[in-house]
Amino acid sequence: MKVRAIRIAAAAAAVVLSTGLLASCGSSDPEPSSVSADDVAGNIRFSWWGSESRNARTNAVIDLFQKKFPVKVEGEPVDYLKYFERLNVQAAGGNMPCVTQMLTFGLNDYASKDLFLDLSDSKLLDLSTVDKGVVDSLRADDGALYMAPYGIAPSVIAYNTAMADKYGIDIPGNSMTWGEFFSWMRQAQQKLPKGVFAMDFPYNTPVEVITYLGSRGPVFTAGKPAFRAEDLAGWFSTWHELMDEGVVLPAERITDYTGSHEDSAMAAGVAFASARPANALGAIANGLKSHGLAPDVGYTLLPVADDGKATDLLPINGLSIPKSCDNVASAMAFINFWINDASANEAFAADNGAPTVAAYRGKLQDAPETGASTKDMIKVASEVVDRGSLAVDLPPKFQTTFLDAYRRVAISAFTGATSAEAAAEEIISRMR
Amino acid sequence: MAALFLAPWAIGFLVFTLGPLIASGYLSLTDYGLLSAPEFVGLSNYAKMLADDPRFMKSIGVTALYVFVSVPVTLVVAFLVAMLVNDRQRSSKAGGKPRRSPLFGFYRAAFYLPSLIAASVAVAILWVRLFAYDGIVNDLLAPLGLSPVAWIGQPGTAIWTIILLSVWSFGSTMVIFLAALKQVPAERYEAAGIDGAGMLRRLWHITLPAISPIILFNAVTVLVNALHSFTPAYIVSNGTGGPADSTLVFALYLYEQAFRDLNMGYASAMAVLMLLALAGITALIFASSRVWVHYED
Amino acid sequence: MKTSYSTTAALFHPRPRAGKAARHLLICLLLIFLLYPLAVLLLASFSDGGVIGSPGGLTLENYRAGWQGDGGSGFGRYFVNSSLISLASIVGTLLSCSLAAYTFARIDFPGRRVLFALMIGTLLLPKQVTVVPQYVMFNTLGMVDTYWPLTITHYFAVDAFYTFLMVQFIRGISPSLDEAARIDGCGHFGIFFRIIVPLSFPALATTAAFCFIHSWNDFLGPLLYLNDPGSFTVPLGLRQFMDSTGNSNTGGLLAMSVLSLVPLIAFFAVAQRLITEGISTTGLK
Repeated sequence: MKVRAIRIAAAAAAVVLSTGLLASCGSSDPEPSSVSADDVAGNIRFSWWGSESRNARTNAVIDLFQKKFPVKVEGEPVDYLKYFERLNVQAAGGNMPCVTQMLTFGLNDYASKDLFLDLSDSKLLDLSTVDKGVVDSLRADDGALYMAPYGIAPSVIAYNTAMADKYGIDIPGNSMTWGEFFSWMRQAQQKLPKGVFAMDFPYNTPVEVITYLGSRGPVFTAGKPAFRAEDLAGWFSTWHELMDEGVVLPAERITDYTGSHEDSAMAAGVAFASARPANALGAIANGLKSHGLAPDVGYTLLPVADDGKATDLLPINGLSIPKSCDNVASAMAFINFWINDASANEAFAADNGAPTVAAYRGKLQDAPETGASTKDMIKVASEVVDRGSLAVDLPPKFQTTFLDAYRRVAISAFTGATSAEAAAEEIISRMR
Repeated sequence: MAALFLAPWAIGFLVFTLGPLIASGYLSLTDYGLLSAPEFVGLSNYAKMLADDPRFMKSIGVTALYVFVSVPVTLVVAFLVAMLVNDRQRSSKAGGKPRRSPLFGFYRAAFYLPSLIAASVAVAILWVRLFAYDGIVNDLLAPLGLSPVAWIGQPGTAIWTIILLSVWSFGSTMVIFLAALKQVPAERYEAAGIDGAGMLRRLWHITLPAISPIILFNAVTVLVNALHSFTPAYIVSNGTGGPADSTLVFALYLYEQAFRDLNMGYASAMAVLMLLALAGITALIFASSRVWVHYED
Repeated sequence: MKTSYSTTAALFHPRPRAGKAARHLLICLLLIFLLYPLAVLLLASFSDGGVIGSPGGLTLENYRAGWQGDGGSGFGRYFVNSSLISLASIVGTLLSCSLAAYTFARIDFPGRRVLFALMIGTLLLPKQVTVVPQYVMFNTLGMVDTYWPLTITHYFAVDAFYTFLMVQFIRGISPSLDEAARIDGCGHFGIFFRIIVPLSFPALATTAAFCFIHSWNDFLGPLLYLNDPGSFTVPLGLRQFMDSTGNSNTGGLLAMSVLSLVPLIAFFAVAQRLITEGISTTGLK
């Protein structure tokens, strides 16, 4: 009798679950163009990644919004490492927040599954104020825009200013080529004391390697890898040589410093320079300080192609609205407020990248209360946007497959577990 | 009466366990990326796993090493320390309260302490700072004339820092042994004392048989936990299973497939395989327990 | 007759005094080795900047700033939330698991072996793959963003670990006591409450201690099921100190990690008395 009861319950459970899993995707699509200002009311959920200090700034923006609109915004902060894991489970349950923070690298994972609304044509959300190049770089093949960009966080080569002064290391200008960059590192190493490396391998983000590949030809076209395997192999073997020469932190020590920016090799005074997102300059300075070192961080832009063309991959943070959202009007109004409202920009103070509205970059730049590292970041963002960046069509699953594979394979190549060529081939085969 | 007593468990099993269990069984036959509906693909996840996934094979090897070392070491250390901190409590024939040293309460808590914190973010940072190239362990070894080693960064040593982390938290297993030792009736030892039995004989003839049900429990759960072990490897390798997949234990690879590569179908197939393998192993342990586990009933 | 259930320490009998000193020495050596990393952590939690291994000046600032938080609800709130969830979980586990365990250990009913095997079977499936179906289920039931998903399963003996633990303990208790009670006219309820529960105090205390630690340290459950920062638990609060895309506060993290151990240690200090008192079985034999 018991066994039969179990069988019946099992069948029932299976039915419930499979409909649950299916229901998560086949919902009716709300029409973004049909919502009106009268509909801005009720509750919305908003999830973002960040630690305490960003949460405080975000909550300040939410408070400002709630004063102006009859909407209650329920914030859900998560730290970056766990953000996407959580979001994926929410997506499986059809329960993504109405305003979901996104970024360039992950956007296509979700957009390709048709989970987000096209935001390009809405009365409530004005994106004409945003840099056109930034918006266009995010558009899908059919011109749809699945994320409203609000923060630009390009990578730079950060360096330790105190060390540069002390050991007389010259800093090249903003248009060095990759070849010049590598020889600069070699020269710097000759002046640095024992135990300090000129640089560490750019392990944390895919920005540097893609910028490098972009300097040598197309990287991704139509969502497929288009770069040459020998270029990627060359990237690995160049860094490997620099490690063997003692210019770059050895491979077996990379994992000692992969935590926060405050715990990076550069912050610990073990590396003179490091490729980092521009919005991490402040965190590195804090790290130097807690290691008892002078908290002065300088930067120079990433290297360019041999013909002088800049090929920066531009990491952009933005906000998306899932199709499962039941309060699109309020979500639109909130995103519009987030991007276009002066008080919101002031309160958030570019905590997750420089504003995408040029006027607000200028305003923050001029404001006396803006921190020095934030001003640096805004300057970098303006420079990188101005000099032109790489147009890439990132493959779906870029976020989930490329970075993991890149890190794993890089270490294998440096420790000699695989050859640089095999490492490059493995990444390409994983992307297909 | 049995039905009444068992009702909460039965309801819990049917509602909270069986459904998800069947769901994962079904998902193992699908291509399911969490972001869209599962697509039925038959046995191809299993075929890929067994024939065409070197990282899967690698993770089995890593897990085997991890399990073969950490399980026996954890069990033996936990048992020996439990014996060591199990303070004497004379039977109170002479009347009055038994004499006991307050120190032992402190000892037990102290041995237990690491297992309370071993899974936390703080330990993730701590372990790296201990075993880094310019970390604390190398500083301690330097006076002995040993040159520094990047313990976490080298494939040959990284897995051992993880094994150490898991053995470090043996305290929870120890507490269960301790509770079992306390259940052994004192008069059995007193009877043996009259016979003049030696220490090892008493261990062999009284203690071990008396606590054998709990030895079985600890053996099964420590083994299952080791095969499911995820946190130490995740913490030490920063979630990567590196360097060069040397710390890619089975559960970490499963997690990577499920939540980062978004191959939940494949991950479910891995889980089903793990379930079958574990069922086989535990069935063997339970079968053997008829010989060596002594129940009172 | 009064009997005390106790100890194997009698093993270390032969030369009491020398043996005793050697034993304390051995324990202390082991503890130094074992607790060294925690001492490092503790020191770093008081050091300026919170860098492990290269401490700056000593300060309480990490504790102050960590406790207040910066935009969150403050750490006191997280402690209260974690305590509520843990307490609810312990009560549920003790009730449901001891009943199930008693049934498996003492009542002979048809299908017992099959159900016991099923119970053990639930121990064997890696949890990662049941996460999504469970989330779908709780979401369908409208229980996301409440404490239900984190506590309700404990009232239905879902974690086989505890049930299995209690089964093994109960099977170690001599059934002669049950028999005596049965002859005195006790039913299963009577035997359970008057014989098994008192005799299983070490097991119940162990189970409670384990359940507390698991609930207190659980990260994935609260991560998925709690949305509102006001309802966050201690592990979620700790995560808020770190973010790889912005500013981290390692000092605050270390300080609050140390502080989060305090309830666990306090609970264990109480529970271990129950575990190690042994049981006075006055009047039972």
